[in-house]
Amino acid sequence: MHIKVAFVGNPNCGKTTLFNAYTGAKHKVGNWAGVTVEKKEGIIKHDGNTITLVDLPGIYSLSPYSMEEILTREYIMNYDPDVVVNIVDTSNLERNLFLTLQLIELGKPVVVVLNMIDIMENKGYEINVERLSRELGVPVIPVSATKQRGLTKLLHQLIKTSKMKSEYVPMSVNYGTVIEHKIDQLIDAISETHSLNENVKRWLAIKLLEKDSEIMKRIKLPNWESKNYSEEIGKIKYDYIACFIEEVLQIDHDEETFSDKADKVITNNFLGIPIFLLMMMMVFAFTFSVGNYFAGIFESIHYGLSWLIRDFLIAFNVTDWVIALIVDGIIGGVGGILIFLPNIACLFIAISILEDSGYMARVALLMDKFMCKIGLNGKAFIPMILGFGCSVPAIMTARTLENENDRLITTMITPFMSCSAKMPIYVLFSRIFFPGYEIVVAFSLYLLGVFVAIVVALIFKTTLKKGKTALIMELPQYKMPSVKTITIFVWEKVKHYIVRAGTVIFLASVVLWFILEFNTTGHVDMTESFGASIGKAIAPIFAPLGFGTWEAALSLIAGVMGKEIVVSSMAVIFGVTESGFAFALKAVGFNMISAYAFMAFCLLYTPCVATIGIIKKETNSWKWTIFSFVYQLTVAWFVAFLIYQIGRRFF
Amino acid sequence: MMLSNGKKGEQFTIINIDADLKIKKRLQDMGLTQGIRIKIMSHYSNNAFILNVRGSRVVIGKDIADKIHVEASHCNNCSKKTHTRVRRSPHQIEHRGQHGA
Repeated sequence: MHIKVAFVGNPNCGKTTLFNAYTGAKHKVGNWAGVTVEKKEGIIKHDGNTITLVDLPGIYSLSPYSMEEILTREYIMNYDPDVVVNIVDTSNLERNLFLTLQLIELGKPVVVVLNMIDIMENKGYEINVERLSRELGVPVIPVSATKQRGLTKLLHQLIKTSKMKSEYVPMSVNYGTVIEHKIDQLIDAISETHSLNENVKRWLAIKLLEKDSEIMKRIKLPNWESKNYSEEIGKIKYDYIACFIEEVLQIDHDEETFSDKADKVITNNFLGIPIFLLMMMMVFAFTFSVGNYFAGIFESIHYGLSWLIRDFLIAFNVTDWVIALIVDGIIGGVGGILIFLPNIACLFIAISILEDSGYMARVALLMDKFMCKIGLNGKAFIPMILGFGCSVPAIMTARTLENENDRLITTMITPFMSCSAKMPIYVLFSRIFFPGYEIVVAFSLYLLGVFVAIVVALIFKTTLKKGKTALIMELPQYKMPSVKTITIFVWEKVKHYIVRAGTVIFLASVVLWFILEFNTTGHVDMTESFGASIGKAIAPIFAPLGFGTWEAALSLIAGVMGKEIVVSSMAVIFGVTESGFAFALKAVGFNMISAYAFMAFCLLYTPCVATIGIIKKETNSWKWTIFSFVYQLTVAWFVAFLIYQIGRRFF
Repeated sequence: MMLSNGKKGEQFTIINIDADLKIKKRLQDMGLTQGIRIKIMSHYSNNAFILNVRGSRVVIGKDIADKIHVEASHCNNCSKKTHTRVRRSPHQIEHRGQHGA
């Protein structure tokens, strides 16, 4: 039989680890239709049953205030999973059960999974699983995703629960005479106009009493007025949990945990920021030292391969232009990008360690005071750090910000953060023009990006006249980053990069090669090609910035497809080899100052197509999308202009 | 008093939260509801508070703490040894009554 299972749980409850324990890297990652929330799906076979696991986003409740929450309950209501698996962090049981009660209220069969049970047992805690199961009216299975404990037992339970789906009657919390009376009245009113399952009707009635905006839109009851009971309903749920929690798990909340001790240092008033800066320096040192070591190996392979293939093609008397297409166009363009794979993998490893260990939430706390000064709150700093990896997921993370304006500003400034695709540009140019100082130059550009983002945020703060922002955030316990989680995360990013190199960059390189070899009259010299004409038309704009050549202009246009394409385009324009690059770049008039101005321009100008796409989706406004395109171009132009004009007077 | 006037290590009971619905809901999701006992674990840079709420650690900004009315928790005098069980029993009887039916 075929069983559909949805994984639901709080952020940091170990949901992803459990999902990975079942599916490994063999799951599909996509987006939910219409929204930019990640959707993960995996299929496993057990005892002749096919089980489809769907990993829903981490949420704290089922209120209609975030896209993730709406999506989760829509999924459970409309796609009718056979079992809803609620993953619960055992060390944080009381708060986690708040979501559990809401899920049970939805009326679908629920199985509660007590995750990280091993950690609690090692600390000497005893958990009364039967009691919890009785109180909640659903099966409770203790597991340890990291130790692979209880996984088979859970699968058996899923199969059992799904078989008894039709007989399932959810436990219901008694909300007291007043509210229960209102619920009964509402159930009657809903029954008159809608034919629905009894469980669903009770849920809808409760949501109506909470004045849930989404449900009020769907269920229209004229002549019905009531005050908002959401505070009472929430409180009674917590009280209900408080009734039995002591008998399920005796835990001394006043006890100092390992995380509390660690936080005394890590979030210390004086040490916090220096430790954070040290961490960031380690991230970059790792990216550039370890990354560059492997990049060097990749480069030798790339270099050797391009000569080998060239010789091979010559030996077979292949026409010159075909050789040029394959060697300069394809190997030069695509290969030139793949060299940077180790650096990018290292950067993502470092970022995912920061995230998985629980440190990222502390960064939000540490930066809160500073971020308040620029009109945002500490949480807005997380998308900015993630922006060092890639703007697309970073902008998606901005959704966790409560305030609309905060989200908008964060979306607007995140592309200024130097993403991994810009790294190849810095490496290429700084090696040629700043030999020996590559890391200093790269680091200065990262800082420049942060600086510009801050200045722009300040401008937004004064122009948008926004209200105060609210920081409310859970500090998860520190944990040892899971090798499996990190491997899967980094592999997804690396795979994405390779696929891009094989598709978008491949195509861009070939197209570029063609427009550089031909014009309307046929095969011509590169300087008269169609591509050169485009570049020449635009080049004068860049003249005051020190790089008013058609080669630079053309690669910048191509770079809108993705910033790394600036490098692959240059590889196509100038040929493959590094010495060739150095010579060619100097020949078209690049020097230290204009190279730096060029790198700064690449850092700041128009976000890439993928980022523009995500900005459109997240802001849901063409106005803001076009605005971000135009204003970033303007900012980039002025910054590069200042760098070149001031720089050339000094050097 | 307001939570924002609290100091590190002090325990309070929430009397009322004076914020708009959305913020209130978020606080509720984090376990901050009327009547609950919380403890200030630390106060970072006079700006954000780390709270112990139902055993989890929650950070709230100063502007939020400004909207939470609290009173010093009577349980402050309870020594650590005679913890929860003794203290909770009166509450428990009360909730049982509520959901008894």
